[in-house]
Amino acid sequence: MIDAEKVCSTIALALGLEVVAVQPESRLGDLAELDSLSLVEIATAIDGDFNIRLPGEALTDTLSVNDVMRMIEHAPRQ
Amino acid sequence: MNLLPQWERRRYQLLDRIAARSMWGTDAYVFLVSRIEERLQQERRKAATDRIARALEVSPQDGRKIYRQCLASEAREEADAARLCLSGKPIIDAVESAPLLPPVAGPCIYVTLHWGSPMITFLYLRSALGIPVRLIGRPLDEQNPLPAAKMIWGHRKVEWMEQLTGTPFIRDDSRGALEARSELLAGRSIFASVDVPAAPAGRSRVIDLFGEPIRIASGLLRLAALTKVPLVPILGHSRGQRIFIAQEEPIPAGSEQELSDAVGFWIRKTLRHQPDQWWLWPFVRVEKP
Repeated sequence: MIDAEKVCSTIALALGLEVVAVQPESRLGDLAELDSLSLVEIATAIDGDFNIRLPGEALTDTLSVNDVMRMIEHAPRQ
Repeated sequence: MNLLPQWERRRYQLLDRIAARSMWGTDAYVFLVSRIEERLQQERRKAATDRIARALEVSPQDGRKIYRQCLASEAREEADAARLCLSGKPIIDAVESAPLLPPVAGPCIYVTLHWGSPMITFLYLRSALGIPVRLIGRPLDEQNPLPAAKMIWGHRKVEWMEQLTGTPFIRDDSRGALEARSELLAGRSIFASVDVPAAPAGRSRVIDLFGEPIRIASGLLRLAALTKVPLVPILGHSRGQRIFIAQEEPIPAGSEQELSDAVGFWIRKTLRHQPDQWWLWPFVRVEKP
């Protein structure tokens, strides 16, 4: 089971936001003005914190944090 | 009367009809284009000449001479590409390297400049040496400010390069940085210019260019820092009848600041040593105080 709080905290840290600003229902694109490197920053942070290899190209700013959690669940372990 | 639009069209006709046909045609095209561009683009000439004179502490006359050679350098890359594209000859026949480029262990980001022959340098790495490397390039879309005639040539050039290398460019769009990251994590390399705020994601940071704060592409540096890969500076330029390619020692993986300092040092060293190949003297984006 993926720890939702940890995912929110990882994303918040990657985007330089307060942890409370990121909720499981939040859409990534609504959290901040994202460019393609912001998504790389999120993917790298998640890879590091969850010891996985997120299929980076599947990450888009229209995904919600819940969607990202599902991706983490199915991502290959490093 | 503004002759520029007419000249732009004529220039790319000359590229096809003269420059692409022979080495003699290439030389004639380079001579003609550099002289005409110098005359017609007076604001650029002034900006470049003043900047070169200030940066390198040379006279305005010498600054202008260097600028003319820069125009010739850009025209030569176009002409060389057009000739190679038309002839279908392998890239390796057009290149000499110094003396053999040292292999880089593992994935890296090859960084180059708008200097000499960047596209042929990429083609050499990919199609002659067989290095698994992909180029990040700005899409030739409606946001791209290239003049229409140059845009048509640009599309042809991209098509030729993609065909020759068997791999598409990584477009500098919303997916570009993620695609580049995937390439690096899979053990392949990336090639891109670092001297303008461009790929990926248009992020930039300021470095010192001989006392002038200019913006360079920090997205590449960030990508290198995140994926922990080294930067490998590489440059190619025309020398006699061939293109000479030289690769620098890799800049080890590090923080974005460390990479930026190292890239700034390399750019200054390159321009001090050979300023007459850099196309961007008139175009650098100066940071306002």
